[in-house]
Amino acid sequence: MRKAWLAALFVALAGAAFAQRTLQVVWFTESPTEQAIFDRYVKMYEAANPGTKVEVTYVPFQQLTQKLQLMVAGNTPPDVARVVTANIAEFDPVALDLAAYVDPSSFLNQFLPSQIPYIYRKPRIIGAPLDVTANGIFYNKDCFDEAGIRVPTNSLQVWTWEQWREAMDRVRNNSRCRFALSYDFTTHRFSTLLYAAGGRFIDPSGKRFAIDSPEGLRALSFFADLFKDGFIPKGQWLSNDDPSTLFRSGQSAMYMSGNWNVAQFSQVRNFNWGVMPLPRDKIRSTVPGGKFVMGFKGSKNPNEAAKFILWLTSKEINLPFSKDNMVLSARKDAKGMKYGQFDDAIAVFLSDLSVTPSYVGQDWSNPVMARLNTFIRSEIVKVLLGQQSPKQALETIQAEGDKQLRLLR
Amino acid sequence: MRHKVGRLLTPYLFLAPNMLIFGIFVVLPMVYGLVYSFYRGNFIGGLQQFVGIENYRQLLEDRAFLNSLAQTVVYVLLVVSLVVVISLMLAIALRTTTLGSALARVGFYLPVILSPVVVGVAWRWMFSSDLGVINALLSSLGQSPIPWLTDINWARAVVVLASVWSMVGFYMVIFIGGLNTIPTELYQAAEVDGASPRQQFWQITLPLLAPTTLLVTILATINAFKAFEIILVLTNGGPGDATRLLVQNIYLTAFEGANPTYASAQSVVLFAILMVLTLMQLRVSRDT
Repeated sequence: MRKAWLAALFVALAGAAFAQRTLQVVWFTESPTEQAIFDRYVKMYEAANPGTKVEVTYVPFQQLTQKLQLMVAGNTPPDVARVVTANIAEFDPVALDLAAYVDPSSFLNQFLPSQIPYIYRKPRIIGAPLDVTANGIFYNKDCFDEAGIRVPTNSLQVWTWEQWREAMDRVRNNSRCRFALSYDFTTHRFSTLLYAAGGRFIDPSGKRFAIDSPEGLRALSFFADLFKDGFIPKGQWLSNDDPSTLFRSGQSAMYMSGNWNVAQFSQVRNFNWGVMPLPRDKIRSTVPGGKFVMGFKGSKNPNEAAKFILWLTSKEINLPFSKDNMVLSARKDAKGMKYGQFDDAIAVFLSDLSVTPSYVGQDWSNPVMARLNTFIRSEIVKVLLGQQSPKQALETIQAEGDKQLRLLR
Repeated sequence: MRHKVGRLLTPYLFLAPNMLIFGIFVVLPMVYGLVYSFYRGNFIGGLQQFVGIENYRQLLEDRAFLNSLAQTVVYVLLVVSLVVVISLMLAIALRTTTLGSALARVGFYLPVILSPVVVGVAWRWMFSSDLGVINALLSSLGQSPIPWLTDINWARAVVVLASVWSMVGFYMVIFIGGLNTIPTELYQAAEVDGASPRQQFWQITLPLLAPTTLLVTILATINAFKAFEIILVLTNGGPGDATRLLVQNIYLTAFEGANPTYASAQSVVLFAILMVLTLMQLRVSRDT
C-alpha cells in the first residue's frame, strides 16, 4: 500500500515538473504564406522555452474584432492577439499593461515615433508594434506595357490625378486587363484620396470633424466618378466582390491596397507586377497604419504573454520576421533593411510614407475613427448608388463625426 | 410512499438531460438577451447602466432598424407567396410514384440539405456582376451584362429567388403528404360528374389542402423572418443596405457597432414577432 502511495506521489510530481503552460494566441491572417511563416516562429519560441506550448487560433481579418469581443465578453480572453490600428483602441480598457515588464522609455524608444500614439496611453503601454503599413497601388506591368503606358517609378515624376485617370482609360481600352482599378472596400483606403486632395477627417484641435470641406468634396467626387465611368468594378463596393482576386487573376490593371500584399503577390506567376508612387492631387500622401501584438488583462498567462510579445518585437526576431513577411518593421533599427527582389516595391511605399503629413496618423489613432469606419463607408456607398450627392454624404459624416467626438470627450 | 414518489419523479428524471441542455443553451441566453435589452453596455465594459425601455424607444426612431424591418416584411411576403405557390405546383406535378418524378423530387429537395453558405456561394458565383457565369455567358452572346448584384432591384430579386430555391423542396414534401390524404373517390366522383381538372383543383384539392397550406405558410413565414446566411454570403446586405434584413441588422449592431445591448432589444422584437407566428402555428396544428 505504501509503495502504491509513493508511486502515485512520484507520478504527480513528475507530471507537475513536465506540465506545460499553454499560451493562447489569436492571429489574423491575410494568406496561407503568412500563416506558414508565423508557425515557424512559434516553433522557434517553443524550442527556446521548453515549458511553453503556443496554441494559435487563426482567424480571417474580417472576423478578428468579433472573435476578440466575444472572448473578452466571455471572460476568456486570449493571452496574445495581433491587432491593427483600426481596432487596438477598442481593446485599450482590457489591455495587458506592458509597462510592468519593461522600462517604458527605453522600450518605446525602439519603435518608430508614428506607432507610439497607438500603444502608449500614459503611463500604460497597451501593446507593441510589429510592422508599419502604407496604402499604395500595385499595377500589372504586362497590361501597362501592352497599352504603351510608362508608369512613374520614382517620386520625382508622380502622376497627377488627371494623368492617372487618363492612364486608366488607356490601359482599359488597349490591354488584356478588363478593368482599370480594383479598390479595397474600406474607409481607410478611400482616405488615401482624401489626404492627397489636402483634406483630413479631424481638425487640428481634435475637437471637430473636418471632412465637409472643398478637399473632401474633391476626393469623394473623384472617387464616385471612377465608379460611374466604369474604371472601378461596381461589385467591389456594392456587392462585396473581392478586389484582390480581380487583380491576382490579371483582370484588373491596378489595385489600391497596401504593402502587406507584397508577400502574397510574390506567388503571382501569370504576370509581372510593380508598385507605383501614389498619384498626387494637392499633395502627395499615403495612409500609414500598422499591426501590433497585445496581451489581455485576466488572461491565463499574463507573464508568459508579455514574454512572447517582447520576444516577437525584439530586434533579433522582429527583423527576420518582417523580412520573411516582406513587411516594414516598426523598429528604428530596421532602417535600410533589404528585401531582395522586392526592394523596388518596398522603396516606393517608403517614399510615400516619407512625404505623408503627421496629421494623417493622428486622424487614424483617434478612437473615434474605429467607431465611424463602417458608417463613413456606408455613406460613400449611398453616393455610389446615386441615393445622395457627395456633398450630402460629407454633411452627414461631418455631423456624425462631431457627435462622436463630443461623446468621446 | 417512497415507491409513489419514485414513480412521480421518474418521467422528470428522463426529461432532465433534455431540460438541462434546453435550459443552458436556449432559455438562459433568452433571459440574458431580455435583461441586456434594458441596459446600455458593450462587450469590453460589460453592462454599464440600466436604461429601462430607452433602447426600445430608440428603435422607433432608428432608420436602419425600421428600414430593415420594412425590407424583411416585403421579403417575407414575396418569399412566402412564391414558396407556397411553387411548392404546391411541384407537389401536384410530382405526386405520382414514377421513377422520373421520384428523381425530380430528389432534385428539388437537394437544396434543402445544402448548407445555406454553399447556396449563397453558388448563387454568387452565378450572379456576380463582374465575375459571374451568367454575365460571362451574356457577354459571349453579345448581350450587355446585367447588374444582378449591384443594382438594388435586381439584387433584391436574386435574393428572393435564391431563398425560394433553397426552401421549396421542403414544403413540396409537406404538400405531397397533404395531397395523399385526399381520398381518390372524390376525384373519381368529380370526373363522373364531368368536372374539368381545373375545377377539380379549385373545388377539391385546394379546399381540402387548406390546413396544409396554412401550416406551410406559417412555417415558411417563420423561416423567412430568420433569413441570414444566404443573404450574408450572396450580397452581404448590399448594395448599400438594400437587402439588409432584420437578423443581419441585429448582427451588425452587435458586432460592427459594438452595441450588444441595443442589438438585444432588436432581437426581442424579432422574438415577439416569431412568438406570435409560432403560437398561430401551434393553434393550427392542434385544430387540424
